[in-house]
Amino acid sequence: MVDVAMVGAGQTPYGTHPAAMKDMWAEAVRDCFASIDGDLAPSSVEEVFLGSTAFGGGQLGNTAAYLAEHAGMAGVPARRIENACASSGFALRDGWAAIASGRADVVVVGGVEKMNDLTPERKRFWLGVSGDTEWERLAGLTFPGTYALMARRHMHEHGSTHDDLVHISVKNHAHALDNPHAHLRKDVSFEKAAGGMVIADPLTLYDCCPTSDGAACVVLASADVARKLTDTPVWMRGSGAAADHLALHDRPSLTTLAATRSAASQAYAQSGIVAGDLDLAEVHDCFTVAELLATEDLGLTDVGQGGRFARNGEGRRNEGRTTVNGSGGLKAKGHPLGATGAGQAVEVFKQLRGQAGPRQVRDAELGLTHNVGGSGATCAVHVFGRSQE
Amino acid sequence: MNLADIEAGVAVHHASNGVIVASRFHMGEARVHAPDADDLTMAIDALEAWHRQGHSGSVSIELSEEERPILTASLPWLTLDEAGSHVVHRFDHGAAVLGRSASFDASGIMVNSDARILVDSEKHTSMQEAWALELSEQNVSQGAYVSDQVHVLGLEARLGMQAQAGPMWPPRGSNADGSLPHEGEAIPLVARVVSWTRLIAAGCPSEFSIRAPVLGGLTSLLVTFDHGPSGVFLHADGHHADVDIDDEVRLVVRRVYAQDGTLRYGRKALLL
Repeated sequence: MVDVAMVGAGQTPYGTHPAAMKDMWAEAVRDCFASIDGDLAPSSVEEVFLGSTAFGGGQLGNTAAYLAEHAGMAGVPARRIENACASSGFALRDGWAAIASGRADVVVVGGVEKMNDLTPERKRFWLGVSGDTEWERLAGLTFPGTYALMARRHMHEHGSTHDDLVHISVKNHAHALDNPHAHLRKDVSFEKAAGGMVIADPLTLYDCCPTSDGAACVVLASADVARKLTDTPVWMRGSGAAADHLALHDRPSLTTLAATRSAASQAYAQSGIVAGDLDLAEVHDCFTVAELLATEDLGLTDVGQGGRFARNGEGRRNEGRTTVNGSGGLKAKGHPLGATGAGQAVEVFKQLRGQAGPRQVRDAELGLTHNVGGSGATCAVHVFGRSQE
Repeated sequence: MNLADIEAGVAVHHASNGVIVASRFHMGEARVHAPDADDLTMAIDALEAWHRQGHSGSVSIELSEEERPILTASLPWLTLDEAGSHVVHRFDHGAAVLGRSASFDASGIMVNSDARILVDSEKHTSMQEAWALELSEQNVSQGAYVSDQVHVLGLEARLGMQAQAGPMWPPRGSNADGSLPHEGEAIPLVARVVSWTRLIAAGCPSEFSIRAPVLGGLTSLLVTFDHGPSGVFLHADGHHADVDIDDEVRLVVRRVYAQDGTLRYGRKALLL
């Protein structure tokens, strides 16, 4: 297999963006190509892998060709990859595979979502389309509901508490204060987060990520090309992906995401590391309980200890072994569904190159991205390193 | 006739030759349907109450073209026969009687005051208006579109709890080895709560956006069946029930939502 590296990465701010979807994507692509040390034009890439749910349906068909054209890549083979919130995590995997297999030398991977230009009713429809419509959604469940079921069960089985979830919320909001691209840059106290309005009992407003507009883009290159473009590539050391039952009720456990465990296991094995080696992890905290479960499923703490891990602040930037969601995570950086996985890679790119400014993780050598689709039906995990091996 | 016993969410009186069921919901002295019940669900409640006593056989009941597939899918053990040994009578204001007589005077059916659930008249009216709005041909649901064909194909699993061998429920297209799943038995209607949540109205799926504000949200329960699969069900009758993990529930037939001018029914959960 050919070794693969990220040579450029960029994104728009996340939040309520004044631009249309195509212009957000073009902005992220410009930001990405500007970060490449050597000369590379968008038109010279060989493939485009774009993650998006095409939220709102405004350009549901041929989304990737439409967006590639608007970002200076007309004529480049492009496709949209849809796996709900894990769309660009899987786009990243497909881009990696294209280069690792020797089929391409330079590809663009990214994601985009425009969510905040819809009426509330239309937004609620699109937010629910990635669950099991017939057997889950029509039993009243949205994603806050499915994650609330997981949270309550984890509390029952392992004694975690809502306060543990509050610690995650407070941490990620604090991390986002140092991220100029974050959607929610505000200090949230423990008391405020603990007293949030209930959305899906036991989850409150401060347990839920916002719906964000945003786009993110990275350029992947084969080892030979990467070395020509930069002296500081970020190496993709491992790629894992897995799927699980779509509906929560079909899974044997509510307190673990089997897809995360499988994808992480693949990525760790390929990269030759264990969870304890990681300096930072950008994990999929669409709800605070999702981060709690991720810390267990990724092996950052033991099964049933996610609550303690959060309570002890072990994921705080530069305090524990591994900084968890140093960007603010989905909770505070924001969650533009199809862009989230690529945005996680952008953050790791900056961290491993020492370009993360005030949110820099000290001596960051190894980073991980964890991107989940829906309530865990799909998951992509990637391990990145400053060194090639 | 004063009904004091409660079974599966309705007041019940068992007699040697049949059963009487009545809604527990009352607006003052007037008996009304539960928020997601109607004449059809009341008839199904009566037939299920009768069946729980070990009865089965042929029954006569007047049904519309739309109602027939819902009732037959819900009660796969039932034989419909115009000359059946028993007749189901449905009445306005939440009562149904299964008996041997061709007629029945329902005026004497009362629900014991201890068994009643009092409802606010304004809220009851709002719920009726919400259903009417949801049902109107002009209403275009902002919700997920489950086509009529897909909905009908799932009726036996959704209402009759028909499983595939394993048991496997809801049904699948293929087994892991690629083979066609064999038909299994129906899943029992009693299950145990694994987890539950209550969503505020603004967080509910958009299919429920008209009624959820009236109910103040929706309660969903993930339950597991003995020796079998699990499923998610709405709490029936819009109860603001206190649910606990490991509680037992019974699944009953209720209205779920309306789409394209048609009511769609499914199983919902009631605490035992």
